[in-house]
Amino acid sequence: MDWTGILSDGVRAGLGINAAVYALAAVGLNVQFGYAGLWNFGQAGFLLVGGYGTAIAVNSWGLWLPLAVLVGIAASILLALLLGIPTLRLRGDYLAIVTIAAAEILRIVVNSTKVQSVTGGPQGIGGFANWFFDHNPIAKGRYGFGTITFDQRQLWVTLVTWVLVALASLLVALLVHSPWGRVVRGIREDEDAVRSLGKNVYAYKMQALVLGGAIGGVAGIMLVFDQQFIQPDLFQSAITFYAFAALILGGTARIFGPILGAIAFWFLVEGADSFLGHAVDHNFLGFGHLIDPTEIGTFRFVLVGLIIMLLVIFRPQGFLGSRREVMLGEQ
Amino acid sequence: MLGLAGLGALLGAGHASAATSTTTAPAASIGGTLTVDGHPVPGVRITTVQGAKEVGRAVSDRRGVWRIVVPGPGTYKVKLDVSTLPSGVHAERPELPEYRVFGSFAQSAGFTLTSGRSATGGGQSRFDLLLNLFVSGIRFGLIVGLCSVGLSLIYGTTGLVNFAHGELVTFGALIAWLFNTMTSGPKLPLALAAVIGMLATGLLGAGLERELWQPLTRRRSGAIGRMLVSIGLALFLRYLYQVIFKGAPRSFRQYAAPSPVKIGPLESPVRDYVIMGICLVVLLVVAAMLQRSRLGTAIRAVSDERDLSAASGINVAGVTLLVWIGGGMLAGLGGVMLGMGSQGVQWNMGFRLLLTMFAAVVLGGLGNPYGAMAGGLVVGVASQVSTYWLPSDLQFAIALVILILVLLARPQGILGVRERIG
Repeated sequence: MDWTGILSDGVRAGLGINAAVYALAAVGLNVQFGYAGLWNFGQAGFLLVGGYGTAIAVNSWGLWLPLAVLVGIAASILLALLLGIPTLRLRGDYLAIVTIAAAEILRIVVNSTKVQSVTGGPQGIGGFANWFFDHNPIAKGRYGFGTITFDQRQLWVTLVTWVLVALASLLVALLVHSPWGRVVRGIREDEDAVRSLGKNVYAYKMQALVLGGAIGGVAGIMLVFDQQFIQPDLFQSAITFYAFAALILGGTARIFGPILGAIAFWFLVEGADSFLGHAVDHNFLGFGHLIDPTEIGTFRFVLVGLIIMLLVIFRPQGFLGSRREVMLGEQ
Repeated sequence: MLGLAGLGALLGAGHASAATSTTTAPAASIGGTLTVDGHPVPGVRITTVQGAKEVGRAVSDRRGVWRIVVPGPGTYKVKLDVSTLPSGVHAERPELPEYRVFGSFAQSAGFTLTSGRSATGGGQSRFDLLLNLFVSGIRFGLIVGLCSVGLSLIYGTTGLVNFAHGELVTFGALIAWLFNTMTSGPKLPLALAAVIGMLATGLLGAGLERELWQPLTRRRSGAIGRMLVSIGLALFLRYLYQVIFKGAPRSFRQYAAPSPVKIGPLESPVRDYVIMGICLVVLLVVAAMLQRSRLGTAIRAVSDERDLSAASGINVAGVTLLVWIGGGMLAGLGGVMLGMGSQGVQWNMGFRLLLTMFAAVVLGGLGNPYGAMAGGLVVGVASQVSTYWLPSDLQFAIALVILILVLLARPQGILGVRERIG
C-alpha cells in the first residue's frame, strides 16, 4: 500500500481548486445559515446562475470577461431577491424547500433544448474564460512540494480562488462584528425579540440571503473557470450538500469554519477515494474481492452521507464552532 | 427526462480535475436516453465522428439508453441515424456538430425526439392527445399521492422534513424487484413481491424511527439538525443502493413491455389501469382509516398539535412509530407502482421523485395527509399535460414552478391552516 501516495492525494485535494470553490460556497452558506439562520438548500442554484451568467455574457453577448463576471454576480443577487421576496416571511422549512426546488428548476431549464441556442443545453458552453488564462502571470512549469504539484494553469486558478475566499471571509468578518452582524445573529436566535426592538427583520434576512448568494455566485464562476466549460450537470444538488458538510465539519458561525471545513472535507473525501483505489488495486484486506473498481466513485457519496449524519448527531459544532451558537444541537 | 438520464453517471463530473493517481479512472464517454412521450426508443443508431473518422457507435437498448466510449477529451460530432428511428418519430436536431468531451467521465448528449402525433395532428386529434396526457397525469399523480402521504404525516407528527423519503420509495421497488426478478431469487409473482416490498419498507421506516429519529428527538435535536441528518441518510442509502443494485434501470418480470389497448380515445396499456386502480383503492382505504378509526383520529390529532395530543393521553411515540410504518409501506408500494412504468426500477428513482413529492405536500398543506393526495394529483396532471405545449424535459420543472407559485399565493396550501406557516 502506497500510504504516502494516498496522503498526498488527500492533501492535493485539500489545497486544490475544489476545496477553494467549496470553501467559497460554504462562506456564503455560513452568512445565510450560520449567522442569519436561513435554510438555503439551493446553494447549487446560486453557483449555477453565477457560472451561466458569466458564460452566456461572454459567449452570446461577446462581453469582456471582467464585465461578464459582474453579470454573473448580478444574476445570483437577482436570484436571491426572487427567492427571498416570497419566502422570507414564512417559516424556515419553506425557504429550504423553495431554494432546493429553484436550484433544480434552473438546472432543468438550462438543460432544456428550448434554450439550447443560449445555454448550449446538455452540451454546455466552453472556452469563455480565455481572458482569465491569458492573463496568468505564472511562468510555465510545475510548482509545489514533493508529489503535490500543480501546473501553472491549476496554480493560477486555485490561487485566485483562495484569495477570493480570503477576501470574502474578511468581508464577512467585518460585517458580523459590526452592528449589522449582531442584529442578524439576533434574528437567528429569536426573530420576535429583534422585531420588538424595531428592526426590520425581513430586510436584514434579505441582505444576508443576497450576500451569501453573491458569494455562492462567485464560487460558481470560479468552478467553471477551472473547467473552462459549463454544463447543467456540474450543478447537481449534491453541491449544496457538500458545501453544508464542509461548513458543519469546520463549524458554523465561525469565520474560519467554512475554510477549515472545505479543506478537511476534500482531504477526507479524496483521501478515502485514493485509499479505496489503492486497496482495490492491491487487494488490501480483501478489498479487491469486495469492491468493483468502477464503484469507488460511488463510495465517496456513501462516505459523505455518513460524515454528514455522524457530524450532526455527535458533533454539530464541528471543529471550531461553539455549541451555544450552533442551531443544530439541543434546543 | 433527457436531463435526468445521465444523472447517475455524471455525479462525478464536477470533480474531474481532482482525479486521483489511481488506475481506476473511468473512460470518457458520451451517452443519453432516447424517449418519446415518456416511452423509451430502442434500436436507434448513434455514431460519433472526429474529423472525418468514425470513432464509435452505439445502438439504444430496450430502455432507450445508449453510451459510446470515446478516445478522450476533444470535440466530436454526434450523429443520430434518423433512418433507424421508428416510423412517426422525428429527431429535432439529429446532429450535434460540435460536442465537447471535457474530461475522463461520462457526459450526456440529449437528442429530443417528437412523435408525429403531437401538436401537428397525425393519428390523434389534439383533444385525444390532451385526454391521454390527462389520464397518464392522473396515474402519475396517484403514485405521487401514495408516496407523499407518509412524507406529509411524518412532517405533521414529528416536524421532520424528511429528505430520505425518496429512498423509502426506492427501497420498496428494489425489494420487490429482488423477489420478483433476481436470477438467484425466488421469482415470486409481482403481486406477492409488491406486498413483500411494501412490508419491508414499513419495517425500514420503523427501524429508522426507533434507532435514529426517536433517539434524536429524545436528545431534543433541532428541526434543521434532523433535516441535515435526513440528507446524510438519503445520500448514504441512495449510493448504497447503487453499489448493491448497480446503475442500470431494471424492469419487473411481468408488465415489462406492454402493448397499449384502445378504449375509445384512450390508448394505454392495461398495466396503467391496474396501477391507477390499486393506488385509488389504497388511498381511499387510507383516507377512510384516517377519518373513521380511533387510530386515524389519533394520527390526525398528533399531526395537528403534538403537545396537546400528548397532554390528552394519546401515546405520541406509539402514533409516530405507526406513522413511520404506514408511511413507509405506502412509499414502498408507490415505489413498486412507479417501477412498473416505463422508467423502471433504479437506484435513484425515489430521489428523482423527491421534489415532486415536496411540491405535492406543500401544495396540499404541510402535515395534511389529504392535502398530499390532492396535491399529488394536481402536480401529476399538471406536469404531464404540460408536455402538450412544452418539451418533456421541462416536465419536472413544472411541478416545482407550481410549488413556488403556491407559496407565493397561498403558502398554507390548498387544505392547510393559516397558523402553520408563520
